[in-house]
Amino acid sequence: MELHENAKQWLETATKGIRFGPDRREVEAELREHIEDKTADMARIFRLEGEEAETEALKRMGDPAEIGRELARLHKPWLGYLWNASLTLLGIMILVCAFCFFYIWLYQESNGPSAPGPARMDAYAAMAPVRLEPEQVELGGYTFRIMAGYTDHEQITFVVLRVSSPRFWEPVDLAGLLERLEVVLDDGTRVSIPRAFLASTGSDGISPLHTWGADVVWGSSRQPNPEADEVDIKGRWWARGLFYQDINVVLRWIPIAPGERITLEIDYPMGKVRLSAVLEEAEI
Amino acid sequence: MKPNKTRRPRRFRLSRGWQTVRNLLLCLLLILLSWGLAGYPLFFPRLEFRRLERENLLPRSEIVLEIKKGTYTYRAPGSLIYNKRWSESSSQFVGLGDGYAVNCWLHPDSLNQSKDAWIHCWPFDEQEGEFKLVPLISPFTDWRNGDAWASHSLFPCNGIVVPALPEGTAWAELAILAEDGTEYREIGSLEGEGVWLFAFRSDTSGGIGGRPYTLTARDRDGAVLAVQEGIVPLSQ
Repeated sequence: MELHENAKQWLETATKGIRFGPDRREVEAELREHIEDKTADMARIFRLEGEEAETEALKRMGDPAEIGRELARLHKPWLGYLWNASLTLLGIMILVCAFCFFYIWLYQESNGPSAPGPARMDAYAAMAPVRLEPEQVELGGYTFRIMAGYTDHEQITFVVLRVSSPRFWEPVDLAGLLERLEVVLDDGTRVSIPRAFLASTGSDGISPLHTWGADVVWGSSRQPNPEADEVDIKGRWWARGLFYQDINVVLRWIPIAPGERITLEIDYPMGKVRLSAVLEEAEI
Repeated sequence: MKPNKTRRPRRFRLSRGWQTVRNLLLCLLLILLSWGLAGYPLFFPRLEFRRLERENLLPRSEIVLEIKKGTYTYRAPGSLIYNKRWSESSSQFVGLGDGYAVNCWLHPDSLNQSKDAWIHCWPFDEQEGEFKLVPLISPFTDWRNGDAWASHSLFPCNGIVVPALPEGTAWAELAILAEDGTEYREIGSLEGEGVWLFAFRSDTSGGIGGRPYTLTARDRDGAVLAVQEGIVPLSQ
């Protein structure tokens, strides 16, 4: 129903104090409906017609200036502006996240995947249980724990070291950990990671330290195969959650006797982490 | 009877205040997500340095030298090539701990690669002499191979920091005998209280890690305050 000029005037006076546009339009629509309802009532009850009924309805609606002041007091503009700002910010953040995902996708497309295939993860799941002592070490807000291990007693032995922390934005520095890591065997043999490995670049062009995990592969004087001291990082795999990192420490060509204990030592300036495991017979 | 005016039934709708709260919570989640996607970068290099310390389980050190992003503190005499990108996007820190120095190089690169930062600990008990040398990490100095010498021709120089020289030192020189027999001499610049930085050219194929050096400190009048000979430390 089209309102007459005096009703439009009434509406403008009543709503001009509301500074936030969407609020003003909403209140105006609400008041318009009231005017229309009241006009219909006037026409029905008093048998008035057209502008006359509308004028009577406006009289009964009250003083528009008074209503306007009250509405302006109720509708504070800052809430509306904040609502607008939150919508804009949400839009921007959706765009930023979309850009981040696109950028990472582009990066992975151009650099190749750094993640392992699922077959390796299946192998991880099939690993034999290990005897552990102690179960975990806590240092500097990080928890170190041997999660799994495997040995065929001749060619390959590995243990999976998990470093977890509730501070997900501060995962332990892999380069620093590998630098300080030593594997100690029962006969006192100590195996550390060669600098060349830490500085090396894999065949995929990515340094093992730039991926989310690394195999640490090295030999020692115990190795029977003279060619076995080549660093093999092709079998690298990783596992990383929000609160943990798994590092696969691999020893190649170091025979491990049944029941022999493998100890991981990480000598940090803050203290020493020492974790042991006895690997049981297992088959992958 | 008044015709029943049909109004569109309103489904459950949040008030504007609650919508604002919901939007802001969603924004917070998305901010956290994008922060994580970018590798949790922090706002200031100093905070990144502290975080690297914690990630390497290093006690908090006292920062004695900070080479800020955008400043070109390395100044090798005669260097013609200037790697602008490196100098604009990197920060270096040298911190002193109890019996060791820690050097950190931050190179915030691209998204999801924020871990392009290195920290290295130089224990003092592995160096002889009263004054200790702290070779600086640089993108072209592969300290992980145990060498403190840059091998990249685009990068003009390498830094070695001596965190403490005798009080009153006005002039200091570090001479290093490279493997090929060439002696490289550089005059240090005072970067902080007692902290001297020696910037060496990298136009040699030989390394200086493990090479002999002579450090000389003189006062304003040219009198020798200290002379120390030793070996440039190798990374451990």
